[in-house]
Amino acid sequence: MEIRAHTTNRGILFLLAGILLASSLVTPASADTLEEVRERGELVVGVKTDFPPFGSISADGENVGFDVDLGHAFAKALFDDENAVEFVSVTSGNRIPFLQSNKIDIIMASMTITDERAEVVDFSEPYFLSGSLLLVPEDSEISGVDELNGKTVAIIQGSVQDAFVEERAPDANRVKFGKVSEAVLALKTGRADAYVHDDIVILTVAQDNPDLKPVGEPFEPLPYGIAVRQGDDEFSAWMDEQFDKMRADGSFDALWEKHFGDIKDNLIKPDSAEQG
Amino acid sequence: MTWSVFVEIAPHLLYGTIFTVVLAASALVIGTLAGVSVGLLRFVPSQSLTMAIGGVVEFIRAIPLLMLIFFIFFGLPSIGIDIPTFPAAILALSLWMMANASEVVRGGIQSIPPGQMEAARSTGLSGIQAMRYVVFPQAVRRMLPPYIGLCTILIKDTSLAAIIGVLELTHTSQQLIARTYFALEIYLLAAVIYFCLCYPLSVLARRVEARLQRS
Amino acid sequence: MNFSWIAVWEGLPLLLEGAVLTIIVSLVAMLLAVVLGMVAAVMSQVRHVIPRTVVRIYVEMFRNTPLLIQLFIFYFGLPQIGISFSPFVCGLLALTLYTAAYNIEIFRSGLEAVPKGQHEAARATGLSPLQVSVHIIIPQALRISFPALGNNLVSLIKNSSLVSAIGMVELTFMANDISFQNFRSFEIYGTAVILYVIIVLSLTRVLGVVEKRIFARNT
Repeated sequence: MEIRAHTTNRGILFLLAGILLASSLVTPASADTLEEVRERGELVVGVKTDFPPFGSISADGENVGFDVDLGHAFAKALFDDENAVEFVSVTSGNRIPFLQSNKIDIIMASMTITDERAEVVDFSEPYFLSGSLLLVPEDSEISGVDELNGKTVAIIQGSVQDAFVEERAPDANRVKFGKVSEAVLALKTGRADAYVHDDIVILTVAQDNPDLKPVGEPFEPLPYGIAVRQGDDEFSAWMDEQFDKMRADGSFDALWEKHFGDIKDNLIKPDSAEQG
Repeated sequence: MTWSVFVEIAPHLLYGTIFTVVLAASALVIGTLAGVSVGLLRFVPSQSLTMAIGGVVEFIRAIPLLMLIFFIFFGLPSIGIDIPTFPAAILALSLWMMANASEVVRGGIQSIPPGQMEAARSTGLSGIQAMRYVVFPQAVRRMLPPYIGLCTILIKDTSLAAIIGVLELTHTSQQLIARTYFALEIYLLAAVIYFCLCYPLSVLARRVEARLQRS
Repeated sequence: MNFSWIAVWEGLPLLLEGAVLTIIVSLVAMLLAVVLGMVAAVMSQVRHVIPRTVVRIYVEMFRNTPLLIQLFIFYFGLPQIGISFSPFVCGLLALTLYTAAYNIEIFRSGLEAVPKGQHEAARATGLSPLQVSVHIIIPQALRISFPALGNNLVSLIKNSSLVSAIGMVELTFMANDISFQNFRSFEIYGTAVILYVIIVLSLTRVLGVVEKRIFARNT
């Protein structure tokens, strides 16, 4: 057993050394995603599947939502075929790793633009403005984020609300979930007293679940952007071009109306002609 | 617990199960072939080879399968190795199977009294021939119960692929719950399906073990 | 790609915290699983059909379904019928029940391996059947089972990574959390992998040493 352990340990050390050496030597070619995508004939988009109305799954198992339609629009612009797109389900936590590990070409997943994120990905122009809201059970007395101290708060791993709640209610017990549905389930089954997330999803979930209600004023409004890999300048420029076109020909406003029409009064609506 | 839900969700779950089976079968075949080869290579009289193989096998067996999956899926692309989702899952599961199967092979062969090998060589057979015709066949019977055990664990571990988004039974369950919120019913039914896949193997392993005890 | 040692350095404190939690939850779960497993193993040797069947059902249920699904049922499913445990309790519960199911088999063999003469000799000194079991037979069965239990503990440490999926904080959870915030997947997961290797190899060594000491004493 002694000799074997010695042998094995040496073997493992060599393996590790090999991996480290490889990692320091290999530099992947710089991304030119636009080329790759054109060659592939399909755009691979990371979308949410639990975040209505930006990205969710319909009863027929189809991806639907604002971001999804954006994906179709981009595919149409690239290939003249709005179905030349593959949607990959991502979460707030793993969307950047998915982008970085080349599993997707672009993130269209209700992604808030923050400075930290901008350090590792390239964002487009903002296309939505979202504040944070609370979702609580119908009979709850909580009316705002300041009352969350000492309560159990569900938040999504990797979301901006993680830091917000920590700042504003440092004594709140934050429980992290990977998916929106898990946080909502926690609220319904009494495991959490409140769920804090982007106002748009809170409002949509509240619409579909009469036993829950949104409370509080939207706070910390931040813009959403779509993201591509850092340094992917051609793709980045093309992306912004697309947005400008969509705003110019009214298709952007049409999408807005389609997905946010009935709740738009509760939203901080950015003027489609000038983004913050 | 809402019973009517079971009827509605069963078809969706069964669809996901198809992928679970494909995933498990692929990893099983690849992992077993690789594992047997690696396990046999351990007996080649070359210290550096034994050391290298020993190191790789022990390394893989020392880390959780979930970590292996994350490393292959998120970590490797950073050094330029891009493997798409489904193959990444198969790779991780196959590596796991290979490492563990090689240990089963090694254990099986080592449980054969060295006298067998000596006797075989003394009749003029080469090392490889002795292994192939005398030692290995005897060892196979002893390898079967633990090997079948590995297969069972492999089937269960395909559930981990759901965490990186592979479409299989567990992932399908999660998607359904995201839409309908019937967590208890859906996960219970998924458990039943996994049970149906694994239980026959457990019974088989026990039967084989009993047979071995008797002979 | 530029391998960032800074990322490793900055992530290390949290990863080590996770590693400690992994070890703690594994040890606690193993302790509980040994007790539970032994009790159930003894129950399954009893002549009555009901205890035997209960144990049998428990073992088959927990060995033939994935640990991940078990975790999800405890954490997401039970609240539907009003039972709501924290991630830590759910994780501990699932790991214990899962490991105990495997321990039962080990203990059954261990109990059977205790020489029959022991039972008779112990009864001959006037001890009751229960005392015989607890003071004479079980300790010996534990000694005999030690190597297999050790293997199970190593498996448990690896299985503990799954509790990250229900939000329980341990090494894998930390690795995910950190890499989702600093986007340095290779460095962070690489470090976590090395930590697991260190934990498992050290544990194996320690178990080997303990094993020698246990079996060095003559029965």
